[in-house]
Amino acid sequence: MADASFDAVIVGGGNKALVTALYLARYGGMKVGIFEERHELGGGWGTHESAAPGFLSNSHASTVTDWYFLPLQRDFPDIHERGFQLLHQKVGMGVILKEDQSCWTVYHVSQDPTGERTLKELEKFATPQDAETWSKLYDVIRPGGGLRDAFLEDLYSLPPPPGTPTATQKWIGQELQKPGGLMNPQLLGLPAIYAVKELWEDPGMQFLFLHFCNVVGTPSEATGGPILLMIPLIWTEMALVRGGTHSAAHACIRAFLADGGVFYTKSKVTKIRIENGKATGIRLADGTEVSAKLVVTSASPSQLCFDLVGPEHLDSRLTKRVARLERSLSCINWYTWALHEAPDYLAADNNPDINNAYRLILGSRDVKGLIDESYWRRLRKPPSHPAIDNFHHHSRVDRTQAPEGKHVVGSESITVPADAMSEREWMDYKRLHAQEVMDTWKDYMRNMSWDNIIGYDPITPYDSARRQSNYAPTGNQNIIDRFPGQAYPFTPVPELASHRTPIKNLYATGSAWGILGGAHVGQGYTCYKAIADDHELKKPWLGHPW
Amino acid sequence: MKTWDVIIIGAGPNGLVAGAYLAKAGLKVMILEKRLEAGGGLATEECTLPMFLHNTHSIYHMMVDYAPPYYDLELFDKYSLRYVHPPLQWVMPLADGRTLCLYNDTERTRQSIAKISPRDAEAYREMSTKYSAYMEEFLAPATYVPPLPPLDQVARLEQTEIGREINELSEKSPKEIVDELFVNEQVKTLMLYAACHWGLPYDVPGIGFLVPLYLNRATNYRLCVGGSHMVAQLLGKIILEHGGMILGSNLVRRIVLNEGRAEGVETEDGSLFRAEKAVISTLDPQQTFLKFLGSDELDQDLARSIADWEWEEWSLLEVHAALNSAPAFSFASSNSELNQGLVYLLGYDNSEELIRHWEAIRQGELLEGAGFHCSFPTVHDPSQAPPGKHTALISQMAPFQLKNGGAQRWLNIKFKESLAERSLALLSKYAPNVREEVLWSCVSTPADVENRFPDMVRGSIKQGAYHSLQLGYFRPHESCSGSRTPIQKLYVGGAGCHPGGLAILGPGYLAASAVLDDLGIPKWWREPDFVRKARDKGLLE
Repeated sequence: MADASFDAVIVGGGNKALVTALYLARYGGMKVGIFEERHELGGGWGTHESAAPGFLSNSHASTVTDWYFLPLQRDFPDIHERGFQLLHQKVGMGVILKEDQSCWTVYHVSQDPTGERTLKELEKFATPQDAETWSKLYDVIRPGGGLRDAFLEDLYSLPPPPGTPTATQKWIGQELQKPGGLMNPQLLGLPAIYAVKELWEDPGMQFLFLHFCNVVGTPSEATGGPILLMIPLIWTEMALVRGGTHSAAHACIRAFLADGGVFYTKSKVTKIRIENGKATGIRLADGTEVSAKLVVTSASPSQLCFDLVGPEHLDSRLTKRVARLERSLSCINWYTWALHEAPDYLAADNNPDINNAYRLILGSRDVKGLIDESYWRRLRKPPSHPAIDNFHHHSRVDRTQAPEGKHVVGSESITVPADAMSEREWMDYKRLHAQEVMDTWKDYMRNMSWDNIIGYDPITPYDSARRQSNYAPTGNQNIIDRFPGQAYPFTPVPELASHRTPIKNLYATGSAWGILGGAHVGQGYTCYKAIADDHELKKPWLGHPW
Repeated sequence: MKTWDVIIIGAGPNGLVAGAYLAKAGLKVMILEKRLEAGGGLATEECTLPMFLHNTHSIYHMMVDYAPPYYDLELFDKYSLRYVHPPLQWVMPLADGRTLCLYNDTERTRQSIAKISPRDAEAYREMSTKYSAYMEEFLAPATYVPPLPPLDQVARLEQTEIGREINELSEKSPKEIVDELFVNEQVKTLMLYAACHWGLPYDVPGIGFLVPLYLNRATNYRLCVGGSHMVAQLLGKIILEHGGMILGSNLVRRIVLNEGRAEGVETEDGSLFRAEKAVISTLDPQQTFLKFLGSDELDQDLARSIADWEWEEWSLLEVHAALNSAPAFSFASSNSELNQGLVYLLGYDNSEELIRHWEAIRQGELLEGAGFHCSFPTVHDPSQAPPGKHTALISQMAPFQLKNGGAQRWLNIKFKESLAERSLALLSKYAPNVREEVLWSCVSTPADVENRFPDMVRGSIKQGAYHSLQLGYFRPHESCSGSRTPIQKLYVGGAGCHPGGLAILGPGYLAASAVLDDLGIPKWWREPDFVRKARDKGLLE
């Protein structure tokens, strides 16, 4: 490609960048060029036929929710005819306890609009006090609920100025003052591994909530109690992207191209051109120079500071904070399995709907054991037989994800960061952990053995770090861990939290920003908000809550 | 209901080519694809480890110098598509440590063969010259025009000397042709494999004309830089640029007919896509005619023929491996250039072993110690793996239906791992460093081929067997030759049509041509010179 110029260039074609690019092209009226180092766009919206031919494997995001894409669906209604569609399963989240196969199913809101079905199941699963707590919690996390409204406002808005509470913090403050409210000072202040006992009596519930903390990138031994209240926001509106999460990228790319956008793959950006404190373009690995009035990156905070910009342009406190970001505590094994038969859970005897759960925590009452796993990980030793949650069984509702009559299922566990072991050790670990998953599955399923397995795709943090340079060196798919001080509204660090950088016309986004990592459009959207504010671009959110 | 000018079923190489030609002609094109990614057999995937790109189906593109789409669509000039054509095309090590090599340069090949058999070296040189002439004069042109009824074609070929030789060859089986040309056992093995490994039964007469085609093409294998999917990506780009659309994750349920005319397509979720001007199916004949239409809509003879459609005798058992470093073949220790080959034929010491492999396949047996060919694309295109690392492909002919266990037996991870182990063990006999250097591997069996590409029934990589009643004018049926079908506005354009599979882009090109002809829309491209010359000689219509 000869030296070129754009109104805006985007460094990295991952999903956050893609969303920002879409807005800049359509609402900013800009000529936008995306430069991606991989052979395809989408980043964490990745899907491959890697467990076995004919079986789709989401390499990163597999669980999405109905609220993940709200701005996109509102501002780009054409993405539906371009192939974007969400599907649902009957049960979003389920949990089974090994000791007696007791289980709980959280139904999708469409299956259980009042929440009574879910509550009824909880009454069988946990204590009466827990059922009462859940009832209160459900009221605030359901569509229309106060916590949900606050959370979405934070997800889809720029962080407020320092000292001003976020919408979620305001909600927590109000709840704290309510007699019999969900929040209390201990729940507010304690790390989740203690706070969870403030919230739930039943060890099974404690296990569930702590495991889920780890799964969403907020390590339970570090993160604050309030996260525990927000976790169920994911459960009741769980969804999947038809065709695999990468279909979302396809739809966005089609819209982007239709708006005159241009993208280049296998085009690694090595430097952001800075002249007099202003970003004026980018330089590619092959030396090509591209000029632009605006540069947006979706690289990791450390790539941004140390590679693309260079510490010589930045304040040393900023670079020290970025270097210090904790990224090791929520790195995952993410395996996809191609199966002949769908898993048949022993717990189905208690509730047949457990076989229709698309996110299923294979838990127990051994809360201490779960907490100990966190400490092994801090010692950078992979815990033996870690807690597993199954995800993904999309083939049940999406026939394009597995051949007729066959099934695909995922298994996840939290493990050590990529840099804790060598390449060889990781390759050996892939097989070891596959056996661990099989051992664990046999405790919960009737019909699982190696005879049922056609193939599997064992993604470890080492693979994630290699697949996407922004996940390196730890392979954390959320880029950073989140816990007080390293959480919204300061993510990734206070100086960068509003997507603006010390370099004029240089903006940064990605999963390290915002309230939560993951495949939602939050940070892509809020990055555009910052740019639109600064450059007086069209604001399609006017008249809407966010 | 959404409306388009043309709906194409299948976004494989042929669907994409047809789509690109028609979109550039100004038609509104929609391509419906079952898989998530377009490209069909032009698939490149990270199936072992991230950043290791594996060509999971088509890899050696053999008609790049002839196939019109590359030039009409300006894939090289305008879209920067690149191929590499490694000089050392085939390497076959012999038991005594010597090697037989085929180069893209005839003289170098002659010199290599001369070390083994001076007589066969000369025979090769003559064969090579002759077969190049056959390609240029007839075989290549015939690939990119609609097929003629066999008697007509034979008659035309009788008019020229080359044509007469081709007619004569057609009567023979591949083995007969190879045995007539060569005497040395190892030379015969290499030639027979190179001629047949794409799916020609070694002992069946009537398709002998494919032997000069495949032997000529055997030194014209090219690798697409970035992986085979680059071709698909560029074709897709052209389609989108010209207002067309490709939708993945769409399973077609039926072709909608109205008063005997193809009017559109319905997908499994009930969505209807209306086609004002044409529907093109690029899927296999059974899906197109029996599933999407139903035998009630078809003439009895066509319905019966399609129901009796023969699938291929063998499919492919492949191991894809991510390697820490390039293989170092022991036979290359005194000549490192031998590590630069494109295709290595390993495990057959003589043609009897090769034939025994084919006979075992016919019995549904996995022959212990059967040979295979392998390739290391990153040696020629480093972009397909992280710096310094490599990919490997081991490709072995294998039956779809196993005598013990049927096709389902393939679909077992432990079985697959044992097969990978076996293949790597054989490779290690020639390249001792490989086993240690494997980071991760994955196996694709004949049953996986069918799972990945449902139009490759029983793992048939070309959508159907190549024999005289299923080639040319009869592919898929005489009432459907020339891309048209008995059903108005319905066309066929996949590998199950002339000129067949192997990503040579012919069927899609011909289907687009037929659609425009029927619509009275002038073609925006010219007939290639090599086709025009053949027409001038009277060899084509």
